[in-house]
Amino acid sequence: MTNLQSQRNRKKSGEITGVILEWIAMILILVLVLYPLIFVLSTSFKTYGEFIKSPFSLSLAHPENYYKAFVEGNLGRSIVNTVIVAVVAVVCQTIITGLAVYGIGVLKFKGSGIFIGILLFTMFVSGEMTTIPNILLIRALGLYDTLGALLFPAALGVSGIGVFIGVNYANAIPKELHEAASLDGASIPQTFFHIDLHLLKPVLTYVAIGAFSASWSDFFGPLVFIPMNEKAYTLAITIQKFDTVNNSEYGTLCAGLVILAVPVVVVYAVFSKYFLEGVAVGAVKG
Amino acid sequence: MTDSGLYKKQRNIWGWIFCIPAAVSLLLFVVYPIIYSVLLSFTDVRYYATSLKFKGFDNYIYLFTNPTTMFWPSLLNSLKFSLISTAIQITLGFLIAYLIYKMKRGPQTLFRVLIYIPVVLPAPVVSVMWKFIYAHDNGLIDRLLLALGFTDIPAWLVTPGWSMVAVIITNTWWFIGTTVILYFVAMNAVPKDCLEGAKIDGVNKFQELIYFILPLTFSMTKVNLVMSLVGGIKNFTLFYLLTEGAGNTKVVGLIIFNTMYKQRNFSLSVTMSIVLSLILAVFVWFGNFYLSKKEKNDL
Repeated sequence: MTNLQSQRNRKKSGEITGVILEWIAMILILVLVLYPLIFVLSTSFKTYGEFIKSPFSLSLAHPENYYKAFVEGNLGRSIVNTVIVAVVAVVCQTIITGLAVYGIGVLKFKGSGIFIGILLFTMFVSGEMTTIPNILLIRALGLYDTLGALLFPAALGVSGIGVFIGVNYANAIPKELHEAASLDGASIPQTFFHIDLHLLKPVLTYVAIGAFSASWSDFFGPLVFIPMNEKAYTLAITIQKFDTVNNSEYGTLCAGLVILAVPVVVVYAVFSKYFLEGVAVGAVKG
Repeated sequence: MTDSGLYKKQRNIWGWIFCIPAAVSLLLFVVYPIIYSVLLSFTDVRYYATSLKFKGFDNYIYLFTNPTTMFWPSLLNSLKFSLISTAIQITLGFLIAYLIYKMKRGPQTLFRVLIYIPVVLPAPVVSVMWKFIYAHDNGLIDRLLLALGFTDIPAWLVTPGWSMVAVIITNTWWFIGTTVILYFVAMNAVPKDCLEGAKIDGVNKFQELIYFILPLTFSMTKVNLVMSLVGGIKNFTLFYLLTEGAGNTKVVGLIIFNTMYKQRNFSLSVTMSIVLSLILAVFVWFGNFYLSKKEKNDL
């Protein structure tokens, strides 16, 4: 009897240390993930002197760093460029992906299998293999070193993962819905606009968010397609150049980083459900 | 009735019409570049030369026989980076996913969302942030170590050995969220009654993790392995932004990029990409084959 009790007690205390260990681990992870972000945020409100004196302290003292980033860093133009590319990418890619999803997933036309096959293949093609031919293509079109070099692929891109998730999703739409619509005399485009477009909204939201964050964060594209023309730089490139040119203006540099990071982080925080689902489905398919 | 000939024909026609934009996109940005890069690899195209003059296998022979390209040693560096960071990322990611999996609903949602935040950050944000951390004398790590009384601290980003460690740590910080989320999804797919039955039989948490969760999420380990290994070998951005190849971190991505961007030798750069893609394809194919066999044997 006492034996059993002490055993139970031991088990209980073991469980408690386990829980405490778990929480210590989780808090450690939390600090490691969040501290670098908090560090950049508070450095963006410090002068150089303040940073040298106390790099670890929290501060909100110098919001004028943001003004300086805009004026000295010439961020205004880059922000406009980045927004234009992101808007074009979101609108065009959502439309293109949505149409393809309807064609493949709902209409299931002859040859849609080949389409899926090619899309699957694209997910394995490494980006650098297509870079040089794309540079040559963009140069032939006279778009090299202009914003057009980014707008062109943004406007004509299609999200492979988006189409996969979409087709899976469309397969779950009851067939009777389309049969009923066609019996009522609705044409195929009418069915698309009045029925499926609404049903596919969650998938299209995912595609739109993915297109936004990919385009906003894109670093490699502007790096190779816009090598010199400062007027066409996007935010990511401007800030990276700022880092190498203006090494000691830590406060202003960090203000730039915050401006670059906030939109994607906010969009992620609001739509995290879609992001995380997309990650899971994408991996299972890949 | 709806599958009558007319409707079916209409569906086929409209199906193609709906897919025209996507088809154009694929042709323009995937099919054409792949065919064109294979063509380019048999020519001698530099930045300004635009005419295609065929040179046969010159680029391939050059790549395989001329050590000045640095291609093979850099591939070895990439492999080293890829293997070490994959091992760390998968072990750590698995454990963190398990911690999150065991949480109550509220904190679970919070941690799941937080751990993925670094993944969405743009590359310059990550690299500048970590340059502050690694900076010599003024960096956060150095300030801490100096305060603790250490002297003779190496410059993390340029010292051979340490620079690789620095990139591995940053890379893990940046992408561990993906591994965690994937494992988390897989753990939630493990049948609950299976784990409950084990619990009744007196299985403790550690045994549950090793003998139940680990084998039952093996298919996700496979996905994580392939993604992380291939991603690691192709990694370019962090090396470009953090170390620029200093201290034995000249990886294959940097070599391909420099051949294109600095030396302007487009044909050679494309040849390198093709060889790398082929090596990776073989790698993935064998890996998949081996792992599926292992999975079958284990069951």
